[in-house]
Amino acid sequence: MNIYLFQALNGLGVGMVYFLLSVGLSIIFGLLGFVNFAHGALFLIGAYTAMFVTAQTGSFLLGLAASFAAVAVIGVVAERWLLRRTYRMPHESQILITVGLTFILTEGVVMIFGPESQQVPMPDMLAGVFMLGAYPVPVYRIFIFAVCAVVGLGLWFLFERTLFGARVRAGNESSEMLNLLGIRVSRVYAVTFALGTGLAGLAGGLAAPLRGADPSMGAEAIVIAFVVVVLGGIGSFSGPLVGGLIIGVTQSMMSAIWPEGARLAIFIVMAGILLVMPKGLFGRA
Amino acid sequence: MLEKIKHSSGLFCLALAGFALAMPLVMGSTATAGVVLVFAIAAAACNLLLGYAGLLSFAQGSFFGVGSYAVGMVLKAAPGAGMAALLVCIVAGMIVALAIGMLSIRQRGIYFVMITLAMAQLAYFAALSFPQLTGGENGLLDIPRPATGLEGIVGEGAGQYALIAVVFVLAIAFLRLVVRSPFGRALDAVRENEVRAQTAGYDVQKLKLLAFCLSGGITALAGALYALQLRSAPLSNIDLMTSETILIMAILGGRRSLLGAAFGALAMTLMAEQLSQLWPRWQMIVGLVLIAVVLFAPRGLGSAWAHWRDRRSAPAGDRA
Amino acid sequence: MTTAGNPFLSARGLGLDYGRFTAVGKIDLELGTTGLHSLIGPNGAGKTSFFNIVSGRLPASRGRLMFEGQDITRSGAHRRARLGMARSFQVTSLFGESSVLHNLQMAAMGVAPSRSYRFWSNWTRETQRLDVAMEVLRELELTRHAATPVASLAHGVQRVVEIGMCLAARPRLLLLDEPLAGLGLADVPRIAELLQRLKARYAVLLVEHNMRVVMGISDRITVMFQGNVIAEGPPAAIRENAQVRRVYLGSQS
Repeated sequence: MNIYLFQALNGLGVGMVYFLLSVGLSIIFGLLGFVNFAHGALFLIGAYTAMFVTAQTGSFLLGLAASFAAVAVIGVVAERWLLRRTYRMPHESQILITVGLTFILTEGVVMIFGPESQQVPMPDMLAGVFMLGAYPVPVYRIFIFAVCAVVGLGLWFLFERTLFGARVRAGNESSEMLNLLGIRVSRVYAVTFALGTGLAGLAGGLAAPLRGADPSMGAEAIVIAFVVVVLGGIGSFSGPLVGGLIIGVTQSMMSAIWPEGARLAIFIVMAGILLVMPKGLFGRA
Repeated sequence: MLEKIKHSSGLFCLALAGFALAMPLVMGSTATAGVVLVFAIAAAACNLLLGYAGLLSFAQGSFFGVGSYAVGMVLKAAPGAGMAALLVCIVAGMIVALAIGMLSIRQRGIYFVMITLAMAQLAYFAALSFPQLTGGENGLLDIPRPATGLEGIVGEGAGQYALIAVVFVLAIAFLRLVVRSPFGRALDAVRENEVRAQTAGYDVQKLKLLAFCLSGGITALAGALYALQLRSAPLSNIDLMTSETILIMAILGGRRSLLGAAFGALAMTLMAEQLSQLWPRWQMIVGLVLIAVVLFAPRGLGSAWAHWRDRRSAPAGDRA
Repeated sequence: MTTAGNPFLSARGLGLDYGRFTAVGKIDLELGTTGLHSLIGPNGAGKTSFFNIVSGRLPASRGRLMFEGQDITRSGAHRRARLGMARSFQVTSLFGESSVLHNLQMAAMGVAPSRSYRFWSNWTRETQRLDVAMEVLRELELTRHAATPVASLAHGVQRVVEIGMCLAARPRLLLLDEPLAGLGLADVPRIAELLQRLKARYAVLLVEHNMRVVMGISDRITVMFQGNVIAEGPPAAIRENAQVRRVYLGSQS
């Protein structure tokens, strides 16, 4: 198996993290029409939370769970007390308020943990390699893949097979209708926000052992999330999945071919796909 | 008073000139005053898109950076070019805007926003990937300033500031001309009711593209002036933070207010200058300010005035 | 009346699908240079969808549309407007924040495309647009509303402005989508009389539910049902048509 194939497999793992990061953004926008520019900062908080809790408790799994839970709580609280007021405002107001939130969250993290980037130790159990033929595949990548696959399946089940999911999909079409049907829209929003933001946090937790935790993670993440969502199509679920995988694979493969241009390649691919499919791969009009 | 300024070109230009004259006193030096004016130009160009064309663009930093690089490349290769270098920058900005616009403008709403953000990142990484042209991480250094002829009289710093001030007044007056033109009205129509505009015969794509190009050219001009101010074209001029900053200034001042853009630029620059000296985590305060503005002055600082004025003036169609 | 040989507007086999749902099957329709042709049918018959493909708001899934001998099937809505096709909306769609006069001026400028790119001159120089708008105001007796923002007008007046937007474009063909929608009984005769005047000067394609008005002013009527034409002819013939009665008029006459 040559290096490129190997990198492509690597990229699938990265792509799955991108999927987790972006699916929340896509769902939140699809349901609420709300542009959450703070999504990247939530990824950041997830990473730091995982790092902190793991260090305190010695359990990485606990750290991951905390990264999801903590960010979900922040998401719900922010939605309820702050962001809900901007639903009727134009998009630029939503962007402005979430940019403000991003500043506060990011600076808050730096205040607590300092501005330096921090190593996040890989849990021993997951630190080894698994030999696939002649190539060592890091166990951690497999772990990420497994976690994201489980989450992905869970999401699919949630949205396609449960009553809650049906409500979210209906709300995607018309939240007014939900209201008229007597469904507590605010509850649907809150749960969706918790889920969407929590997933970003979990993505951050998963990414932490790979790249460490540093304050610039948020800015990088929001861009990736936007690219994946645009590429995959807004409001869809398969969109962020396929989009994330494409971006992840592109990035990994390019880092073997032209490392300096790896980041650039992502955007070129995105531009190329959009030229042909303006609404993204799975976007709805 | 504000109403009079809005309706009279003469008074408007006077207000701009007054702002430019006051800045060195407010900011304490011509260097930082120059920064305010430069970003005011960029913010006003962003207002053209945001408040009139209805386009929320994260790509403004790309144009700003392109202008910086262009002026650096031209003046380092041909220091005698002088002011002509600025013209090259405007053209460069318009070309890049055309390219980005053609990809982005076929999208509507939030898709457009996200694509401009991705395009901005593309520009940033392109700049990083071609250090032979852009100087990579370090940017272009030692850019020679063109002579303004005033150096002998008022000194280099003030001479440079005079250049920036003149461009500031001209650029924003030009933008005002544009928004009060038939083109400006067409943009308004497209923003207000795109379906109706299209049905009435307006080529919506072309109109948005033209607005994008005008904005790109003027933003590039601002970037060029900034590079002259710094004597360098750093990578940061083309990064996402620059786009964000310009957008924030434009929104703070009020999406449709060109004068407001100047005040938005002033507010952000003041906060960056003053607060950063007091507290390393000063951006947290900026975050709080932004949230407060959205919740309590949603139409921007400048539009708090406009709101008061609107209640007493003629219907929208006849307004500036 | 349809002029033999060279119809003004000619639709052949025009249809529209939304994915697997066929909103409009295959429609043939012809219009002459003047006269009023009505499109009627129960809700869901596809009338507005048909309107949308004729005006260019949506691309047709099949068929051809010819306007004055030109194939406009693939032309965008803005191009069709410049060729002389003007469309009003069933749900009032105006530039709400602006005055009636400004709305009409904008409609007038829409068909003068080169003017809309002039970013260097002042709006007040567009005197021709102003003249056209003032004429339309006079013709529709809206002069007293000239400076009023359209959003604050009574519904009935807004529907007149909706038609005014078409007239300001100095068109040849009017596509009017339920101009009487939502009007109180008092306003209906006024618009009906306006339509009567318009059909002498323009080709008018009208979608309407008010049967009395339709029967009274139409030169020809096309009846649609579930995306297809089930009858076409002068009002008298349509009134007698058994299938139409069954499908649409029911026990009314």
